[in-house]
Amino acid sequence: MSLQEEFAQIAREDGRAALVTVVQGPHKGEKLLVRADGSSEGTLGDPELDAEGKAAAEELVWAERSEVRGDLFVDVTNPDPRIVVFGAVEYAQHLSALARVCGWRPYVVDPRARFATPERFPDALGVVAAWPEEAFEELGAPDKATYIVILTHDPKLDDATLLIALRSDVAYIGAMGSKRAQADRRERLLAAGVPEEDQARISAPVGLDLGATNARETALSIMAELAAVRHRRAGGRLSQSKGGGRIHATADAK
Amino acid sequence: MKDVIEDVDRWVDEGAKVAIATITGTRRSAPRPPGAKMAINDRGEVSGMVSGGCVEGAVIEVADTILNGDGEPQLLTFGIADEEAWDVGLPCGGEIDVWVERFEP
Repeated sequence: MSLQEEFAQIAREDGRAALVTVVQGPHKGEKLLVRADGSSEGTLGDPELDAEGKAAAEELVWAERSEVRGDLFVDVTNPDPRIVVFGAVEYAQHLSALARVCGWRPYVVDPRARFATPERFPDALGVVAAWPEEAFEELGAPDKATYIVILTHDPKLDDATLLIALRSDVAYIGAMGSKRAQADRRERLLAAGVPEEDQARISAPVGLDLGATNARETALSIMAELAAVRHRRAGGRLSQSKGGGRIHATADAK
Repeated sequence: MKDVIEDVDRWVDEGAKVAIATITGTRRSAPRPPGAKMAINDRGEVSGMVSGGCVEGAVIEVADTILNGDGEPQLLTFGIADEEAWDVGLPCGGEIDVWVERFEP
């Protein structure tokens, strides 16, 4: 089986991997396949290029973008990004629906079995009635491509989720809550041994400033923030962006 | 890869030879990001796009030479439409690099 076919097979199975190809220079056309666990197959024809390719692949496979690095092209395939929403509330219903429209994979978690039902969340790919630790056992551990959104308003559940999220290397942690609720949370987390600088990873209040006036718009503002974070953008208006406003998503590869 | 895989699988099953064109780099505004793919087979069928239809024709020609010739992969660059410099270009003012190679099943 060629490395191209192996890469294709991983893509078919919604897996995560990078296929590095030399696109310029004497080793043009040589390939190296790097899997999510860091294992690799093939060679770019030169140990230095292999090391360079492997390092770039290990970074980009989690950043979830394909990119040129010198003479190498790193082609990435990855599952759709995963949102784990804590709190089986109305916002979570709309956020799940928007996530599906945007091509993300939403999951909803709430230990209250009465609220965490598949019927209430038809758009979620999974609804788990359990505490966060157990839920992550079922859904798979939080990883660098997981986005966590906390909508519970319940300090016990908030904190249980935050303590797991902050110990992981998830891409994003967002939490709903008023200034007052945030101040209380800050104190509780400090008491639980989470220093200020770690708490800075929490986006609170969650969402972009859209002036949302109902639950659907609030869900839109959360989804918009998630997309902006994923694409490393601030989330402003294109008409007011400096440099003429790049409409298309382009990363300057060179 | 996912954008073209179904068609590529079918073509391979049918015994067709397949080339894949992948955007490797973009500068300024470009319609599709690095990694976006277009697949071309030796019967002239096409799946997916690398631009908004602006440079596909030129990519297909190169894919044909690769499928019917020596099979050497090629790195192409398309820039702003300009009669002096380019036959084809991107009206949105961007530049894209496209890697075209044979797909070995």
